[in-house]
Order: sequence, then structure tokens, then C-alpha cells
Amino acid sequence: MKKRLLNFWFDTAPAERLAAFRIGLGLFSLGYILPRIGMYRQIARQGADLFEPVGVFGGFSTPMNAGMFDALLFLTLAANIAFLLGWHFRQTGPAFGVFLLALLCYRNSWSMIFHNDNVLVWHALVVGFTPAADAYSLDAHRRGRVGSLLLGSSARWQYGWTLKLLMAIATTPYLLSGIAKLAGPAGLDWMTGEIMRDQVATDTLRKIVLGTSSSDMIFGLYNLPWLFSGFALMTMIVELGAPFALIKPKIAMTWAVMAILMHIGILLVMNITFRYQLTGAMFACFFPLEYPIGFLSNLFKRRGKQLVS
Amino acid sequence: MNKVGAKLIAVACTVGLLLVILWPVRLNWQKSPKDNFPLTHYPMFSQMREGKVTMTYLVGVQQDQRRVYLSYQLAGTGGMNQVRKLIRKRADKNPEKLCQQVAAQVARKSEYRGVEKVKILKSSFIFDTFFNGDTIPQKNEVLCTCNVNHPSE
Repeated sequence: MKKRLLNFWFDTAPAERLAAFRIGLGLFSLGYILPRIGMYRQIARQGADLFEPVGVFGGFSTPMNAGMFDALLFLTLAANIAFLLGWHFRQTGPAFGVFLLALLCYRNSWSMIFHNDNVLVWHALVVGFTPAADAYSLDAHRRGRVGSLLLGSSARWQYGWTLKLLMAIATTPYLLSGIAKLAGPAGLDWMTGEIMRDQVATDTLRKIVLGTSSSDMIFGLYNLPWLFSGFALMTMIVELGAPFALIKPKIAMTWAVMAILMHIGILLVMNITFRYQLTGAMFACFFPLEYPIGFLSNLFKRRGKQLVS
Repeated sequence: MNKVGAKLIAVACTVGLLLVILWPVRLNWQKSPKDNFPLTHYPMFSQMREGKVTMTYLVGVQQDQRRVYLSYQLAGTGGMNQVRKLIRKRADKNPEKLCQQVAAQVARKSEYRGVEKVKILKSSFIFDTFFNGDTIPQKNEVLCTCNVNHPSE
């Protein structure tokens, strides 16, 4: 049993797979933060009456100085670029994880918590402390395998273990959400779909009266309660089935596709964009990314040679 | 670091991190749990709404007395849900101040040229009626009304 468990967690994987995930995560976070710089800076300058500190800022009673927030934002972006490029990764990887945690905790400390940022933060922390720059990085190009701050020099089991941990973390919000639904006031009645229909209705109504764009699908679906029973059942399968996704790679990939489809459904019906999930960046750890990257890399090399000759 | 030492650290990190992330599950059985970030038990999907919702929101009244929903962005910075909470909080505390602030924003925007008054409303909507075409709220409370002073052209 113990041996099977250890084999499960320490299964080997190529360095390229974890490195590809690092690049996907780095690109996603950069593309997520850059267009929001203005908004983040404005939020950090709001009145202290709106400050409701969470996470690492839980002990704060007043907001931080606006200049300090700007410095945090700058440091996060700088570390993000180094993380993406795999430059001095043993230092910049952990720094990026910690800065992103601080930045998003502060961003969520202003009366509204955005839970779609949760997994991004955990993933950045894990990747930052593990040997994710042993391939496709400036460090690997200059010095070969550089290892990580957490585990020292690299070994093939470390890539597999990190990817397995990233997968496990990606499944946790689904499992927790599933439990919250069944442990909530409705209990098993959640499966009737009525609460889900009310939630979709609430969200759409809020968007309408607050003068922003909404999906109008609920107007067509509202009088079809059986449809929401089906949605509720599918949601429960994805959410409570999440931990089983870790058992085998094929089950993991199937589950990841089902979860992405669920988020596409949420986008269509509620007009809510779970960006980290919908771009596939969050689920990239479930797939052998080294194959498509290797294929593309060979294709470019061949094209390059053809052009030269 | 040797292989055994590295694997022990990996096991400790795996168990520790997953326990920390899953620990908020206990909040499901607490009376008034406080949500947090990035640790949460995802309470938002299990709330009982019983077919209705109460909202605090902004409305513009045009010259012909027609009402238009005003964008939440006139009241503050951030996403829709963040500003929705801000509107509720500030309307409870000092609706006049919020109304004046929104009216000043409306006066600056050309798309709201026809809006003469701003109202902050707190209304209860019934889903069955709203999503079957009757968008009039079941209950309506005007928290504040103020005039929009458009700049003279």
C-alpha cells in the first residue's frame, strides 16, 4: 500500500512537461495582471471604509500606502517575467509565488473576494519552489538543470511529483464546492436544480439592473426546471468526482475536459469568465504538453533549415 | 540534499498544502463563517434564494420620466460584484453622498445627456415574474434622489 502510494506520487515525468506548464502559467498571469494595472492601482487608492483585509493581510487594520502597493505590483510583474523566462529561477520562482499571493490577497481585500484567483496563486507558489525551469528556460540554456529552492538538485521524480501536486490542487475547488452544496441549507435538494436556477437568475438580474452586459439565456431557460436538474447532476459529477481524476492519466484528461466544458456552460448561461480555467492554463498539468511543443519545435527547425538552404 | 531527504520534504509539502487548502471545509458547519482568500469553502453556490433577490442599484430618470438602469461603474472601481457591494454599503451609510457622486459622473458622460435625475433604489425582485417579462420590482424603496447638473453647451 505504502509502496503503491509512493509510486503514485513520485511517478516520473520529463522536465519539459513541467517547464511547459510554467510557461503557460507565466503567460497567463502576465496577461491577467497587465491589463488590470490601472484598476488595481485605483482599487488600492479607495477609501479605508471599503478595506476588508483577507489572506496574508488578515491582520492589517488599515490599507497599505499607495506607493507600497505600486512597488508590490512592480515587483510582481518583474518576478512574473523572470518566472516566465526561467531566469535565476531558484530565486525568482519563489519570489513570484510569494508576490502574486500578496498582490491578489490585497486585490481581494476590498469588499469582494474573487475565488477564481485561488488556484492561480497556489499553482504559482508550487511551481515557483520546484524545478520548473530545468527546460525551456534561460537557466537551462546557460547552465543545464538548475533544480529548485525546495528540493535542491533535480531528479525525474520531482517533475512528476510537482505535476501530480498541481493536479491535486486544481481539483480542490471542485471538491470543496461540491461539499458546500450538499452541506448547505438545501442539502441533497440541491440536486433538484432549483438553487442553481435561482443563482443564475440572481446573477443575470444583478447584471441587468447594474447596467452591464449579461447572458440572456436564462430568459429562455427559466421555465425549463428539468434542464437545471440535469445541469445540477452534471455539476455534481464533475465536482465530487474531482479527486478520482488523479487515479489514472486518461481519467485525469477526461475529467479536465469535462471541467472545461462546465466552465464553457457557465460562460454561456451566466456570462461569467473563469479565465484561468477557460484558457486551459489551469488544466495544462493534466496533459503531456511536451508532445505538442516538441512537434512544433521540430516543425520550426525544419522550416528554418529549409529557409537557410 | 539526498534523495530520501528530498522525498520526505515532498511528502510533507503534499500533505501540508492539501490539508491547508481543504481545511476551510469545516466552515460549512459553522454558524457564521467568514470567507477568505485564497482559503475558502466556496459558500456562494449553496445559498438559498427562494426565488427572489433584493438589490440596491442606480437609476436615471430622463426628461420624459422614463427610467434607465445606470452602469455600476459610475459608483466605483472594480468588477460588477465588487462595485455592487460598494453601492450597497455606501447607500446604507450615506445615500446622499453616493447619489451626488453618481450624478456628477452622469453629468460628465455624453451617453447620459438625457438623464435629469439619479435615484438610488432598494428593490425586491421575484424571479418568476421578472423572467416572464414583468420587470417591475415587488417592493421598491427610494433611498435618495438628486438632480444632474449637466454642463451648459
